[in-house]
Amino acid sequence: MEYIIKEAFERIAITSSDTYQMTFTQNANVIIDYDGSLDIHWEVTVAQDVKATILFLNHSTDTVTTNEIYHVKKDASLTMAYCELMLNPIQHTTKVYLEETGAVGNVHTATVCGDKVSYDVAIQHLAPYTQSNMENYGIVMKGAHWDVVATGQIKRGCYQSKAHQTTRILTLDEKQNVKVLPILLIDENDVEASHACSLGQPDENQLYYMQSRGMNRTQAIQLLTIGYLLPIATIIDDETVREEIRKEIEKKVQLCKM
Amino acid sequence: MEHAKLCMKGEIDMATLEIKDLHVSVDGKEILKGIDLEIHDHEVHALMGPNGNGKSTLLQAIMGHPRYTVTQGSITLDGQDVLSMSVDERSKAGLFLGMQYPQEIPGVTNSDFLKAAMNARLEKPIKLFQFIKQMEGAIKELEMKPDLAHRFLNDGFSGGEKKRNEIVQMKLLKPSIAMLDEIDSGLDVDALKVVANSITKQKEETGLGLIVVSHYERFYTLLKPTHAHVLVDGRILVSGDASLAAKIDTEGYEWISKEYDIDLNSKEDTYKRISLGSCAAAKRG
Ligand SMILES: Nc1ncnc2c1ncn2[C@@H]1O[C@H](COP(=O)(O)OP(=O)(O)O)[C@@H](O)[C@H]1O
Ligand SMILES: [Mg+2]
Repeated sequence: MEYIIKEAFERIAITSSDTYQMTFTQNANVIIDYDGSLDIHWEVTVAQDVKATILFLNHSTDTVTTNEIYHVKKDASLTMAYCELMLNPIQHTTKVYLEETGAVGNVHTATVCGDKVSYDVAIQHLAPYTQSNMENYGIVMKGAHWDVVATGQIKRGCYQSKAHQTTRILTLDEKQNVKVLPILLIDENDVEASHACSLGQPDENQLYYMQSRGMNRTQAIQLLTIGYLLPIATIIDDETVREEIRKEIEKKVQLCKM
Repeated sequence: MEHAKLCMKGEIDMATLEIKDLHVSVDGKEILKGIDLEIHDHEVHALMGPNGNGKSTLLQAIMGHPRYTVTQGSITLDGQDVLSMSVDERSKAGLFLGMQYPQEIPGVTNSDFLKAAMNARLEKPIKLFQFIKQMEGAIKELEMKPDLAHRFLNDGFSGGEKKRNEIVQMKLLKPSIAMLDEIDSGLDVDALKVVANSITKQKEETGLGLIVVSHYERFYTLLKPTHAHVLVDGRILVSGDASLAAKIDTEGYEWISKEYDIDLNSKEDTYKRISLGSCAAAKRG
């Protein structure tokens, strides 16, 4: 299945396993609503000077597996985000190639992990002046497992490139059920790269502070959780969509047993 | 819940916080060694004493901080047993603690936090426009930047901003008894006035009773305490009226040890409770 994105804003529903191709030739925001038991292959190209934003909104309660490849051309910018609130088993394998100078790749994830979740996201810098930013935010419910492999690779000769990663995960289980593996492979000197990671249970002092204002423990944890997930709502530059995602996050968090 | 409803109407009915023979330990070490204190609505109690003597411990124990263990004594609010309540129940019952070190919570905006705190004590969620009006009113009254509502809770706030933000929360939550722990530190002279005026206004409007910990006479002058207490080594050594606060400001704590033949650094159980001035005859309402 092939899509050529021609509108500034498009919303696409995906409900069957298939191979999909998508090409951005003009600036656009695309929301992909996916549902059902899926095994999908994506290949996306962002043409020169084009700014593309893709938000994956998961509605599935079944197993979802994706293999995704993104090509970002000269001075183009790709922002893609996963909004995963369904507590279903998920496996994303994502490769972003910043192929020409000035290419920018941003990957954001917001996840309520309630099953087995795995993200393997690799961003490769293949040209000078390329930038990437990866932000993984989420919470892990009791009994769930989450593996994150976040790779930023800057090849030799890709000077003045920047690769940054942030991972913030809140776990509601005392057991160690999260593995975060940040990998920065840097073959060039004239670059910037960083990884920030915080992983742990809710901070008792923060919970006490919130409880002292009248929220019970569950409400306090829910509010903290919403704080981890909400940044994803700002990805798409559209107030209606933001509100929809915000509502969805609040609804889902309220349904979770904290 | 009774209280919460009254609070939302504005004027509180009547409030009495009663602390009797309170002993509190932290990590097995006894910090408070028998505190007796009674606070009513409309009263302002200055709680003084050199650092490290248990002022914050007392306020945190009243609020229910999990690290502070009450080993003896009682706390009641209008006859209800505070010690059997969870922290949030204490808040909903009408207690408020403006903390010496407010927590930073990145990711949670001030307005989401406050809305959740208000909704926690309401049967129906507050209407958005009503909430915004109240929050904006409080932000304006405390002369804070309008973007405060959308910033993450205390995250990257200056010391003074954090303290004012505590008062913003107090404004919206309308407690019957508020405890303010060094809420004036980090504030310059102008900000001190803004904060004190705001607290006084709330007291006049709702009848709020206050326990105020401060090291500055200037703040007490603005808040006009009806009572003052000096807490030394886990005990209230001297109680009195506003003149006691003034005396400590000019003369420090030394006179206490001289006048009452008490060694301020002593850890022995030899303290007597001494009453000064008009403490017992304090005006009500
Ligand atoms: N969380 C804590 N952990 C360990 N010791 C504490 C804690 N809080 C207070 N203390 C100890 O209790 C005593 C009283 O402290 P505090 O109540 O903060 O005094 P104040 O507010 O009067 O300056 C001090 O000796 C302090 O070291
Ligand atoms: Mg203190």
